[in-house]
Amino acid sequence: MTKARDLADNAEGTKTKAVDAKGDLIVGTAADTAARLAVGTDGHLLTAASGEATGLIYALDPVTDAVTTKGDIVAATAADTLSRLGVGADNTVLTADALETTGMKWAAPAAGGAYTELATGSLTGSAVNLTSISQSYTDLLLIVKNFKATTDGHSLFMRFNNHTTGNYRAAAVSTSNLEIDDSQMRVADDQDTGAASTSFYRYYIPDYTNTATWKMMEIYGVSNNPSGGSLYGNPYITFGITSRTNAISEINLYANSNFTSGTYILYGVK
Amino acid sequence: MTHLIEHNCQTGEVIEREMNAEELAQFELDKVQEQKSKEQIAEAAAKKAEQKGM
Repeated sequence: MTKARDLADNAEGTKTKAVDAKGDLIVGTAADTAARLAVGTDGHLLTAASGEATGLIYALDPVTDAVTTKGDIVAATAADTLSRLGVGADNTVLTADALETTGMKWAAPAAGGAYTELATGSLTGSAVNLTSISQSYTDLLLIVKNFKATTDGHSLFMRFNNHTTGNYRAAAVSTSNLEIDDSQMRVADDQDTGAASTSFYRYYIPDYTNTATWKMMEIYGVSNNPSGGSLYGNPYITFGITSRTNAISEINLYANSNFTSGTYILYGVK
Repeated sequence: MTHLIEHNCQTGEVIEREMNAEELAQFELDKVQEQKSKEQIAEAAAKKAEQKGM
């Protein structure tokens, strides 16, 4: 009975002497021995640490402690083990990879159907030349919208690499007309210049970097002329070819009169 | 004067400049060629229509 009360008194006395600040803990350091453990930094966690006198330590959350740089993520490397994985290069994506320590890596996205914008702008002047086209893609896609020029009923023409002798051909499938023109391809026709007229053309050039074959281009388009009635429009399905085998590094657009409006976007397609 | 746009697809640089003599000559030639092409197409279409009518 006495022993129990003494122990309680001793414990009370120890508490009173050891505690001297807010957050202090009394912790056993050995049998019948206690010590004060001061409170840790805000946000730190109390963690078991056998190397410490009290067997405890306040430490930063291990996840927070692992990261050092913007974009870092934390991944498990084994059961109960975390490791930092630094952010990858711009435009790379996080990819599972069993050979990596963390089981993951940052890598370039897999090829296939990815479109990269190479150039965008307005059609102005007498011609627009898209030059220095990167040879790093598989195909090229050119979108031209709402092009107009000063002459009513004008056409849009195209050349590759500014070659004026390319044995170009453009065949309008809808009318079965093959236009034989050594120097240029008519890639849109009969565009009305009225304010409400619109047009939308898509030019697809597959395998534009190959140097072994003639080149071809698929063309789909539509233009409308509201003055001919609300449903008056011209579908345009055609293709263009050239007997040149050069890789295409330049596309030349012109209308044989000055452009007055229109936009273009050139994409590289993986 | 007639001018053209050169858009460098790698640097993004856009230059607007006057056509040089060679480009101007080609520009005039293209106009003539366009007219010639249109006439050929019209001629071929007329011939086709004529053959169908026979």
